[in-house]
Amino acid sequence: MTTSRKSRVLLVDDEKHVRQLLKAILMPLNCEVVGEAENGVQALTLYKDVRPDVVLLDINMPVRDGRAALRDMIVLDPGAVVIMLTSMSDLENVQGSLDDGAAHYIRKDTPPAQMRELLAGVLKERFQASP
Amino acid sequence: MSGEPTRDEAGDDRFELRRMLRELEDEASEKPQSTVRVEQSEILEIIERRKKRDPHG
Repeated sequence: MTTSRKSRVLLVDDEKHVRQLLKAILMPLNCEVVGEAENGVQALTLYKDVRPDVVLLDINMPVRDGRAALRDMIVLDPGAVVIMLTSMSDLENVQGSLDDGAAHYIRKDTPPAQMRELLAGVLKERFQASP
Repeated sequence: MSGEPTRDEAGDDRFELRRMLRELEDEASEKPQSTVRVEQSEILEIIERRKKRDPHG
């Protein structure tokens, strides 16, 4: 019997079409989208409410950006699994996000199939016990 | 008759997915980048190096 629990995902991006695309990419990965936020403030509020397994977090957002939201989440929950998914691809943002506790960093222009593969890898590494 | 997704609807979904992907690519190319861009393959190398350095990090 295969009853592995779905990974609960919080999507954070100010653009609706990006969130829609991410949902389509996540669909085959045994994930459940438990919340969607458009900025860092909403993201932290939702994080407290729904306690997702994984957060997919954009950087360039209004009100409070993803880098600040990442730091907020890690302070709130040092075990938070936050994957940066962003069009910002400069070394400062990559290194800084990883230093701040991001579990992974994926460029938004990564082809969907590769993006799905990367996300599947993180989910497997974090949530599946080795046999 | 309605309720069942048709071939046309599945095609529409694929079209919509491609359109959203194009928008993402356009957005990525339009946004200002402060310094040199790092390729996804380089990002993966950075992450792997960090894991080796600190396996429990």
